[in-house]
Amino acid sequence: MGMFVQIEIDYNKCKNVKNCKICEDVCPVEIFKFEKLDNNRKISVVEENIDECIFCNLCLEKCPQGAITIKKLY
Amino acid sequence: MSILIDEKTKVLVQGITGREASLFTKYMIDYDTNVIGGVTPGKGGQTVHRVPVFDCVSDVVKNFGANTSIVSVPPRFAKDAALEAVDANIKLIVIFTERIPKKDVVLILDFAEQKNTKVIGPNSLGIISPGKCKVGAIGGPQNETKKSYMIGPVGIASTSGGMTTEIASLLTNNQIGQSTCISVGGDPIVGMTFRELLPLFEKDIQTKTIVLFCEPGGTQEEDAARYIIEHSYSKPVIAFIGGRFVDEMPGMRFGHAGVIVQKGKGTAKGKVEAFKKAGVLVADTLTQLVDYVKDSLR
Amino acid sequence: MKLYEYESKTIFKKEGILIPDGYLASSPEEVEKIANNLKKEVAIKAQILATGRGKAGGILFAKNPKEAKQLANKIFSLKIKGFEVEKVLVEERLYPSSELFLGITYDLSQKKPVAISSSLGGIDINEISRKYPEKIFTLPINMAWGMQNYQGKLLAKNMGLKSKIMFKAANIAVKLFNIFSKYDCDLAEINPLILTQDGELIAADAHLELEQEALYRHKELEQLNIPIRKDSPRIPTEFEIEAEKIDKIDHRGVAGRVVEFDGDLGLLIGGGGASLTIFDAVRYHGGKAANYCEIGGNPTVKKVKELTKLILKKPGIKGLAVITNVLNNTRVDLVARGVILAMVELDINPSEYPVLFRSAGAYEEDGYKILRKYGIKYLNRDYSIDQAAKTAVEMISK
Repeated sequence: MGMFVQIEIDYNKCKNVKNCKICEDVCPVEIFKFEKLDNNRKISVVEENIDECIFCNLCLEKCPQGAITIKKLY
Repeated sequence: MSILIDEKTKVLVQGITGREASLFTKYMIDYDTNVIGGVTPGKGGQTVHRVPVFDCVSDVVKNFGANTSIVSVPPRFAKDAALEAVDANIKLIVIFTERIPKKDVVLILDFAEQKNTKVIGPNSLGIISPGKCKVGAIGGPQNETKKSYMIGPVGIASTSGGMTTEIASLLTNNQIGQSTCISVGGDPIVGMTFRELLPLFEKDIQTKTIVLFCEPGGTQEEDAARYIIEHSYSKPVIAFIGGRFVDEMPGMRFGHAGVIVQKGKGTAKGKVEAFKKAGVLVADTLTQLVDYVKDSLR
Repeated sequence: MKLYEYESKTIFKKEGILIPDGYLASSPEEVEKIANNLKKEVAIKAQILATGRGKAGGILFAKNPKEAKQLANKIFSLKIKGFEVEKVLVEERLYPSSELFLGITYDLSQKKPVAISSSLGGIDINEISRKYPEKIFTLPINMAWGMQNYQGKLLAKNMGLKSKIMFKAANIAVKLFNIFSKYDCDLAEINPLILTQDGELIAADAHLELEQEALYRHKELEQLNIPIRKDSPRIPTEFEIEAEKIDKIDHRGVAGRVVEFDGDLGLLIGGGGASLTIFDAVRYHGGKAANYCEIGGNPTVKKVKELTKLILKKPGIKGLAVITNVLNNTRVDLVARGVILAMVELDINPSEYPVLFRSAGAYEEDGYKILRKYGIKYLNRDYSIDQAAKTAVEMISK
């Protein structure tokens, strides 16, 4: 969690999709990272970039599973 | 009235698919500017914010009659893009791109002069005639543009895009509107300078007072001062010079590529003196600038 | 990018302008060896990127190899305008019957290249133009056409040359312009151009300055052994070097271009003309800045954060002023985030530390919301840059 922005991925929805990395592709500030993680998780949130979020909402629009939530903390 | 751009301006965006260009294309449309087309070679047929994209400038001119172009392409393609626009008989070219080599700039200006084309920039943030039209990124998003700029009698020309908006916002806060505001560009060699803009402002009925934002380096201010004396310029001109401290640090570059004092040339002090000789009021602070503008409008 | 004399001469030689026979040396022993091989009287010239080396004793003439070594020792121990002498150029000594001037630069007012010639060479061109303005001939050149032979001839004639030598000089002028154009120069100068007693024209000195913005298209410099570098009029401080590293974290926007000063008010200020105005305003109101810097082009939060941290950690800092113009594309909220993150990471309580924030424009409402949450005092567009600078100066003098 960042100081100004909270970004969460609902892995119950996300893990259904194989090798999808649309969020990584659309994010202009590199918040999502596609890599091999445990329990079939493939997407992680890069902690140190969370506060770079500009609320463009592209990830929300493009995620086929609606797995991402973004909150302003101010 | 206003100068350079108004309701009749039909804008073409060269490099429209770029990150910055697509953003300010949206802002221009929001401001009710008539953006009729864009050009990105190889991307003809696409659209950006519903604006059709073409491969060549001549396509847009032939089909829609563009008369103004804003060039926002990487530096290495800027000469080609600008020359293409001049060749296609565009009458006003605003170059947003910065860091274009001088040789290319000189070649663009040479060709433009032959074809009677006006060039603003390089490294210009754009032009705005409040309430009518804006070309380029000047003012930023719609909300902010409306807060900063309003219709009125003051013409602004500035070597700094950021300070164009700052000064306009300061005047707007004091209920003083603007006719046309031009970011002439911060590079050492640019198309229209203060000297070339002053006669346009003089002919414009809406403009009552002209504000110039200046910086150390170059000769624009001295050239403008000479023009004012030689032509007995009829409207009040008020200048503000940012970066007086640069005089004390010769050889060092601050802010824009053009801002450098070398061998005692281009000093802020010299510019203040030249202006004072020409009867131009030089404000020491922005607060004073507003007072001078108010006095001139009385 | 300023070139050393020997680098400029490499280009001259390649493009067919006559230069004296000579070699580069980096020790007195090498100088002796070269003088031995040349078998002539030699000139030993310090290679530095500043003018005025002649007056500082950076050019000496030697009759024999032994004297050359002695004199080289002297030159290598010199410090000229802050520059150490690391290399010298050892050349055959020329015996001029006259010294001339030839230069090409941009006339910013006419927006064209301009060629300059004079019959008075060997002294600084600014000095000539002050003392003998009638001895200077200037000629605007059309960039698209290049310099024509008749223009070269005009320049040569105005150096006071006639007949065969006039044509030779005209030819050099055209070649110099071709270099100016081909290598994207800001300045190309031969001073002095020497007319020898046997009627040869030789470029005794060579001074080229290449335009920084055009270096990307000059890969050939590498083959000529001319490394690409950045000019700096003075050696950067530790603080400035750190700041430059921060600006290079990524390519988005600018948060850097720092110049260190010795005041107590840290500055985080908008870019371009605004930074000039803000810095002036701080001084006008009696403030002593700890640094100059620029933020613009919508930099990342991380870059703003790191730059803020660097400034806050500077010894002697009493407070921080974050002042920008009404922003067009840099986002107020992103700047605010960077500043606050820096303070939190340094364990500074933002609501207690003397910090003043004045900004407006893109995403201002979000920015103000963040600042309010962390208790930072801010001014909006109702307060001018002036008033903000004054408030900041008063804030730390309390």
